Amino acid sequence: MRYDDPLLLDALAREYVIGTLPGRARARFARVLSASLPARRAVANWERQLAPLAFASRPVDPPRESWARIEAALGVRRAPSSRSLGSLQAWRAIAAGLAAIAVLLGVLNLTRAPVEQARYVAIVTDAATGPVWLLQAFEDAQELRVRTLADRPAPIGNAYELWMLPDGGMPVSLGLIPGMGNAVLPLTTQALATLARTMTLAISLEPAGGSPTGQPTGPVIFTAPLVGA
Amino acid sequence: MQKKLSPSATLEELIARCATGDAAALKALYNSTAAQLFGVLLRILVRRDLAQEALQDVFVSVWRNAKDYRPARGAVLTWMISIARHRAIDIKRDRRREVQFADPQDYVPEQIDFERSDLFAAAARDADVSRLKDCLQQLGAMQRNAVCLAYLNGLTHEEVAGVLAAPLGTVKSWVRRGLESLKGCLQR
Repeated sequence: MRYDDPLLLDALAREYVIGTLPGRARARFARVLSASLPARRAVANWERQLAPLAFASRPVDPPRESWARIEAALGVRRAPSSRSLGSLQAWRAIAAGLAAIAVLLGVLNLTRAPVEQARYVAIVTDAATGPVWLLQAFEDAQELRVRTLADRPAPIGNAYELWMLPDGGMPVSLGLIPGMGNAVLPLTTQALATLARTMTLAISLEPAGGSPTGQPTGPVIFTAPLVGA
Repeated sequence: MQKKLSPSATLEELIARCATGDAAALKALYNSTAAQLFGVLLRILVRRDLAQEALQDVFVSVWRNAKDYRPARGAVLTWMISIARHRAIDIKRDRRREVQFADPQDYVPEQIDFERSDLFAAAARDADVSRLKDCLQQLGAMQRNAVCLAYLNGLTHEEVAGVLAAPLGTVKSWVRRGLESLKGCLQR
């Protein structure tokens, strides 16, 4: 299709903005957008014109846990004992995750060591598609950093819950982990002690909000060996 | 240490701070806009869990792309609403097979309560909305309904045709002409 015809471009932009471009045409136009300034202008123009119409949708308070989920997805959540927050920690988590991947790839000499070495590491791998999550437990910071290596949004109405399977004990929840992006979960001293006698982590599919019983209720979809680093 | 945000920090200021990695600014942005965005998302996705998932995606996207925000391309809220609508429509189209979205009969065309719709309340506060409301009033009722069902409810042409019990070709033309008239009216 020719995208240099201004009238055609405007028509496509209009349908793209309102949402009526059928699936494949929508995906194709989204790709055109990233390469074409005139296309972006045409879209921005329609978006600006029509945005006030969105006020016809009545504001609705989102569920209370929404903000916590966003924080978790971004890894900007303040750990319970935490001193400073936010972007610095998030970037440290990302840097530490990248460093750990670098170790796996055997290119450590190309990167600087992170601030604190992870005490335990696990890589959750889907046999069919490859690594899905990198999990790193930090003893001093008392936190578990979760990095999604391949986006895997949880099915509707479900959440991924991470469990320790300690030797000779019941599963212990470490919290919910996101299907995309990064997260930082707090690790209590008790959790760290349990982690010390845990050889395997498991991820189960639970109802949104996590297991209602404190034990896995849904299918365990992954297990991963926990390695002392 | 984080700087305190003044209560009157504008959305533009908040986005600029998000671009520098200031998580408190994102929280403030969330507090200012989440209800409006959730309303937009819920209207398209119907299900609260899906709308919540989309809301999360929107703020993740805003945080990651804050540095790419350009005021010249529109106000912050316009930008965020665009992100929200595109996300909602993508989710709705992707999940069509696994999720039964509302029955066409559940949709109430705007025509029925247009005079009492929230748009009228918003118009009183906001000049842009007021202009849009006037322009919407100039459309034929069916054009207006078709435009609103597509834009506000995220319906496809086929679904709009189902709600309005009209032929597909007619609906496509209502949406197209309705939007072109709106644009012409708004540019005047």
